[in-house]
Amino acid sequence: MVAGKVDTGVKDDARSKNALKKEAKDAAKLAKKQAAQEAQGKPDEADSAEDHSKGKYGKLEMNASQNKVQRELKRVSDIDTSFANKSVLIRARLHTSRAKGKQCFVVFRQGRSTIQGILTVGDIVSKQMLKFVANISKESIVDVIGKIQNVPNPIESCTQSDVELVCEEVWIVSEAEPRLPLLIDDASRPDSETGEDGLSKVNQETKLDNRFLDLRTPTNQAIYRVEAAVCRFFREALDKQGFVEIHTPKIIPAASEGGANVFKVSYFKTSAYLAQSPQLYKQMAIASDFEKVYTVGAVFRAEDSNTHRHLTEFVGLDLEMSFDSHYHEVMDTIGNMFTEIFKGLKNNYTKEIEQVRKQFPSEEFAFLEPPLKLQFPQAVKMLRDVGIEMGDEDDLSTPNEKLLGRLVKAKYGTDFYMLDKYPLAVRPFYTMPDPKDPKYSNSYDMFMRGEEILSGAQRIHDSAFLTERAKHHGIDLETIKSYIDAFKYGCPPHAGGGIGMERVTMLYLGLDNIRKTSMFPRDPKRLTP
Amino acid sequence: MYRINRSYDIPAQMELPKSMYSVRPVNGQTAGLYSSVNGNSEVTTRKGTLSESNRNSVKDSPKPNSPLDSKSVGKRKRSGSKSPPRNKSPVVKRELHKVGGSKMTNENVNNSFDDAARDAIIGKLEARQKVVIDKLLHLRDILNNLGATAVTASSGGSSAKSEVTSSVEVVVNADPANPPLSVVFLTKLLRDTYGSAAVSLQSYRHSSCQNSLTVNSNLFNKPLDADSKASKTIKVSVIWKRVEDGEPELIVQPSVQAPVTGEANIARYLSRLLPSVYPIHYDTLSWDDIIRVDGALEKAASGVKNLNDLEQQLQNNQPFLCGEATIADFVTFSAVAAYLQKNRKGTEKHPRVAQWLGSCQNLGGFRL
Repeated sequence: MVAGKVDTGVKDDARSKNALKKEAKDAAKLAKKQAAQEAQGKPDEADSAEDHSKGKYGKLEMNASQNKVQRELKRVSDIDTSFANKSVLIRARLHTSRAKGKQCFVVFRQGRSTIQGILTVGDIVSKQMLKFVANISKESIVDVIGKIQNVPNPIESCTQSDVELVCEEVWIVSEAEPRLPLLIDDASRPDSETGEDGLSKVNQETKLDNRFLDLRTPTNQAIYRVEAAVCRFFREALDKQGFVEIHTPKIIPAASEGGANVFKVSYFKTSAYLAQSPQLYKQMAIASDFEKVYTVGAVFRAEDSNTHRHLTEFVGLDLEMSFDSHYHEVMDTIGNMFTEIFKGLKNNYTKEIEQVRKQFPSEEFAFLEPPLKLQFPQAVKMLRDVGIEMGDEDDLSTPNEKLLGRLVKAKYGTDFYMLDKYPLAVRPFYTMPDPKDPKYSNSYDMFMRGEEILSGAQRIHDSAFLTERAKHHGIDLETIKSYIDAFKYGCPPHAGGGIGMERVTMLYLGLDNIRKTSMFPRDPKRLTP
Repeated sequence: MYRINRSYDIPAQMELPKSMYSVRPVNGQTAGLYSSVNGNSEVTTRKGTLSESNRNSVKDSPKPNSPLDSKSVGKRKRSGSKSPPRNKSPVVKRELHKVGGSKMTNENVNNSFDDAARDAIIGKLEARQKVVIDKLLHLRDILNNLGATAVTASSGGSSAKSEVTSSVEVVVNADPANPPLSVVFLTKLLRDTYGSAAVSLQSYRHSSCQNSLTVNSNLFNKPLDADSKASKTIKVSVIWKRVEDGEPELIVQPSVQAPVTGEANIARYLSRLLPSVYPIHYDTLSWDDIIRVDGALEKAASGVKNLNDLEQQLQNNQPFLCGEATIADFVTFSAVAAYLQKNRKGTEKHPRVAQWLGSCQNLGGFRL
């Protein structure tokens, strides 16, 4: 069987060179195969007469739940030497197959586990059956019954390396088309192994266009399980503190964060907008006496930036909390929540993290307990000490943030830290100013690996003061009337913040592009799949 | 670079490269870096540095035929832990060394330097040298005054609260199985001197740390006062993580400085954050005390095998190892505490050690 070609869509010279080489190789292979077949010509026809394995292989009828069968399917990941000489039934994908003369080696894949299967022409397996199995297209789903046997030398290329499946029956459950847009092996290859010498990789655009194939790689299986865990630990950490999960509307009448970055949708006779953040509704929930709330939902930002860390739609994990006397209570809660997420991932998801590191090498994520808290003036001093010029009230530019991340890592050894007391001038109008120094505000950012993941602050909960600050920022009061109204009938002092789930996962695993952690990413250039 | 034993003299007519150090010939000989007129066997020919012989000769008794004697410039600051300034060998400002370094490359360039230019450069060097010598004299005056006041300053917390001169933030990485208790002592003294609104100690546990802390973590958590308005503060952060060889290290600014390793050196560094007249300050120690303190620090660094030596040392009935409390007590306390962790027998057979432990804990204001 000729291996399916990777259709990478010739994008640049290096790629076409690779493709050309591959074509040459495939042509040579094809010529050889034809020559071999001619040599064997006669025997092929002769054997069609007697097939002693009839009834042990074939293509199953499409499953429309015709009958209920009670049978025991084993998980490939469970199969080990304790199954020796036992008969098992598995349902897996045909990952690769290689036929040589009277033997055929097949690799079956289920999720992240692979096991080698072997067919030898003999009493159980006929030549026709071998030919049939060798011709099953890659990625087809098959049912296999066979006996497990131990192998003397471990099979390096399979996860279940100390056993092998001697196939007795092979049935196709769902056949795949023979020409695949991309090969799973190519898509899971680390960059270090690809290059001019034949081993190819798949570029990101192709991966994203064929997401349903790309997601099958063991790396992606691991990444999205880690992402699910981030969400889970977020919820667990906050539930323990007495938070209530709420769900806020995404179709709103006016832009919440202001400005041009909002999607407009037609709403019956008028138009509406897609929410840029659940900010307004979180605060309304606080004013409605829910005291501590969090919400997990989609966030839409119509920013025309094609960067490695921006999406137009992402999942936001937002929280808001009323506090007793000082907003540091909230900041400490958020910091502890992060520590719980990091510890949970470190202790429970080591296998997944290792799997991701195999394809995308990175350094282990380091953090301190309790989390490190720095003040903005301290950060400015650290930057100035290495020669960066900036004013006391300047915002941190992205390169400065990255540099600061490296400085903090060198000094304190942590990839996660919190920066408190940002200058008031660079924060939104609803941020509470610092009572002791009007230049600064009660607001904070949190960083992972030098990139910002959370922006939060103590909010202004007094409608008169809020009106004053809005006027100061030149905002039209009519557009935020409902926002200010929420605070007219008593509201406790509160603070909060929001994080991007994809960004946290990306930075925890040390990946370089947010599209790797978004299952079906949306950016200014991508609307499908 | 190369150590060449010259068995011959450089003939007077030979043109040596015209470096900044070919100053006016002394004793009628053209003297340069490569001159071996001293007959010293150690003549290094490493470009851009003082030859070993000349450096040594400057420090010790000046040899009469050493040409660079009185006009010595560009002396290297001794590497390693800072030693107390001695009147004999001068402490050098860093920029002078840099200046010397950059100037030395001229020796390769331009043998056709005319005399006027050369004299101008020499003149500038002399001016700089004068500045250095003035600063040295000033330092000597300070030292003389210190000698007078050090004895009179009271130990253990003067009532006058001093001001922190400039903000300091240091990080100490240490193994929790071997906590550096000297940091606890010194932080307490710093808090007594500058006030608890200006000095804080906080500990963190790094994610890579496997061991657990052998002492109460409250010892290492002394936050700033809640209403602190101090503009200049001293913040010490202790991070429990895996460290090389189990040695704690102190980090100030990793982009420009190497870390300070070893508890003894950390104690010296922290003691220097105290006001310079404070008796615990490492540089206020007299010569004899330095020898004793350094000796005790080295012993502590190599680990405590048993308490017999210590018992012996405390025979002279002084309350602390070297008379009054010094950093030697703090660091030795740390080592002894680690030893006692493993040897439950404790100090039954060593009454003096037990007594000394008690007086240390009283000074530090805590109980283990």
